[in-house]
Amino acid sequence: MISMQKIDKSFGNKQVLNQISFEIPRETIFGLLGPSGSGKTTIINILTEQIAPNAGVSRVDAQPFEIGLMLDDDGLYERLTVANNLKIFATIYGLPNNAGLDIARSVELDGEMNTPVNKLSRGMRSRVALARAVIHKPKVLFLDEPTSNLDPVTARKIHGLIRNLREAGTTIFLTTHNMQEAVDLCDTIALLSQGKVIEQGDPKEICKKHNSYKTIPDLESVFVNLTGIKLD
Amino acid sequence: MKSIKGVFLKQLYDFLRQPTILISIILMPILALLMSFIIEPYDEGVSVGLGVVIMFAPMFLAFGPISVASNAIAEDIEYKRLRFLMMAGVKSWHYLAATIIFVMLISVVPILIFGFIGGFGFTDFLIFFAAMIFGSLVSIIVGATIGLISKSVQQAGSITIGAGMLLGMLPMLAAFNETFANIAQFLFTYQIGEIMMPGANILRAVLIIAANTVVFFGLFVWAFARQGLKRVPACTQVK
Repeated sequence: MISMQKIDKSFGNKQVLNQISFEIPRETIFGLLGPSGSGKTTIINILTEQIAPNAGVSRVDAQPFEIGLMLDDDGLYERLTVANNLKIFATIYGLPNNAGLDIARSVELDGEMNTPVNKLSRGMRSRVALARAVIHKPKVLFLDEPTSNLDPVTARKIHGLIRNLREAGTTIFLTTHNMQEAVDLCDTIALLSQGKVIEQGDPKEICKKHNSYKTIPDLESVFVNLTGIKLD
Repeated sequence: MKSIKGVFLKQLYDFLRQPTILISIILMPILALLMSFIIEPYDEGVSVGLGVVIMFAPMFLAFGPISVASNAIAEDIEYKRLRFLMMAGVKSWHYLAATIIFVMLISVVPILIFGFIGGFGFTDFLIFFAAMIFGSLVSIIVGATIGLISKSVQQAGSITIGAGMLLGMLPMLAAFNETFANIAQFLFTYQIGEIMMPGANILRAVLIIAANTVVFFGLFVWAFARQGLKRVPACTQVK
């Protein structure tokens, strides 16, 4: 389980998170939605203890090596091949030699194993970062805008992988500003605006509650109605 | 151990794909080898080979291990890569130990080349080898300190050149200027050259090298305590 209770966080005089609370059950996909600068990445950084909150309690029921992390700053070794990037982490996790190839197959990168990361497209890089994040089959996976700037085909592939991971027992926390992605993918969501959670629950229920359930749930309209902010 | 092995692999793969850093390790022994063939024999109390080694081995210590260590650490910090290692359970000391071990190992080949050029007898070779290994360790500590305090690879490169000039050029200039000699005698790079000289005061050299180690290790501890890998967030822990 992942939870936050009454988390506050300020950078200098600017308060970026204000009394953030939520709970995420095991083996579910949770989406944190909000526009750029709303505090999504700060929440991931607090949950993974990369930064400390000013107040409140965060909890992740997993040991560090049971957590996977895919951030916007992918931190891949640019000069190294896909195979070497994966091998480094397979070694650290004590996985067998073929672990890198197996995970590369699952993200359809097995044909690029000998390609240096700096020669890959943005979409391929994202898949390498995802492969690295899940190579050790983590209990908890944090994904910071995993499909931003990706073409729809690649984004759909990544959605499929995320669903498979959930089926395999991984609890997934993802941030996005793509409302449709949240509706399609997430079991529960929280809407974040100006550092506050303004709504949370089942995305389809939220759409119904706010009379925005057309032929497809229109979470974006709900968000705009609640905040007055038009999304990018 | 898995963490150290993983970081070691990372340093190895990255090193092999960086020609400029590779050059910093192999340049001085290759230059020394070439010079040993080019310079005419002379009668100054030392052979051509030994003279060349006395000139180039301190230069290697001043530029090689420092460059590799500072570049590797500064780059991982600048590109926020360490947080992924930390999240995978790699502790700060695992990272630093793997980096130090790696740079020590790649320094062995140039040291052996210098040993070959110097034409040492068995005992002298052992003394030379031990002094160079220890000197490499001090250089790596200096490089690691530079990597820790730098905000970027570019900044680390600039500081490394400055440190290299001081540690490498001063012992060389000491031969031409007494003031330089008075200062340079307190540097480990100078004393490693001295150890190779016939009739050297080895005890004094060892004491100065040991003092250098204490000073540079102190600086490293200060840099690590001050900001260390702090810009790379601490490992996640269950609360």
